[in-house]
Amino acid sequence: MNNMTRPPMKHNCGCMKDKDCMNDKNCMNDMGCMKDRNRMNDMGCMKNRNRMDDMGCMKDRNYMNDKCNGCDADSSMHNDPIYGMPIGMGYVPWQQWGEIYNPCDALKAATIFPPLNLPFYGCIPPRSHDRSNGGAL
Amino acid sequence: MNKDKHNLLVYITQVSFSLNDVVLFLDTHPCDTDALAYYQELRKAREEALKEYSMKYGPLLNDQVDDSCYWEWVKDPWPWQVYR
Repeated sequence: MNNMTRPPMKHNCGCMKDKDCMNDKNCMNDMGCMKDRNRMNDMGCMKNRNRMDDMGCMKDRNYMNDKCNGCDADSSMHNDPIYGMPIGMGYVPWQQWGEIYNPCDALKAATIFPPLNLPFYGCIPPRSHDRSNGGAL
Repeated sequence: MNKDKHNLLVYITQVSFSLNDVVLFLDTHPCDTDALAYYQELRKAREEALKEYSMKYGPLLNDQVDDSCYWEWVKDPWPWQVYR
C-alpha cells in the first residue's frame, strides 16, 4: 500500500489565520480568523489531529481508549454555552439595546451598534486592470 | 456645492442612516423604550434638518415642493450635474 502522507495542517487551534489561503491574495475562500468570533462558530481545535483519518478524541465515546486526554473538541456542558439545546438548529444570541454611536461615527462604522462594528475579512476580487491589491481594502 | 450646504447634506445622511438602523432594531424589539426614544430623537432631528435644507437650497425630496406656481423639483442641478 502506498504510504501517502499529507503535510501537517498549518493552522493553530481555532484560528484560520495561518492557513496558506490567508497569504494568497487570489484566495477566494478566506473565512477570516475564527478565533475572535462568537464561540458558536468554533469548529473545534484541530491541534490534536495529525492523521487525516483521525476521528477525534474518543474520550466521550464508549471506546475504551485511555490514551486520549485533554481533547479540546469537547461538547460537554463545560465548554458549550448552549449545551442541551435541540440539535440541527441554528441559534443567534438575542441583541440587547446598549450604547449607540453618534450619527457621524455610525455612518463610518456602517452600524449604530458598537458590537456590530466588525471587521471585514472577505476577499475582494481584484479589478481587472490592477491586481496589486487583490485582497481586502 | 458650498461648504454649509455640503455639511448639512452630510448631516442629513448621517442622521438618516442612524434612523434606518434603529428602525431595523425596532422591527425585532417593538417594546424597547430606549430604542423608541432614540428613534423619536432622530426623527425630529432629521425633520428639522430637511426643513432647513429645503428652505435654504430647494427641495431635497420631491415631497418638499412648496411652490404653487412652479414645480421647483425640476430646477437644476440634476444629480449628474452635482460635482464634488
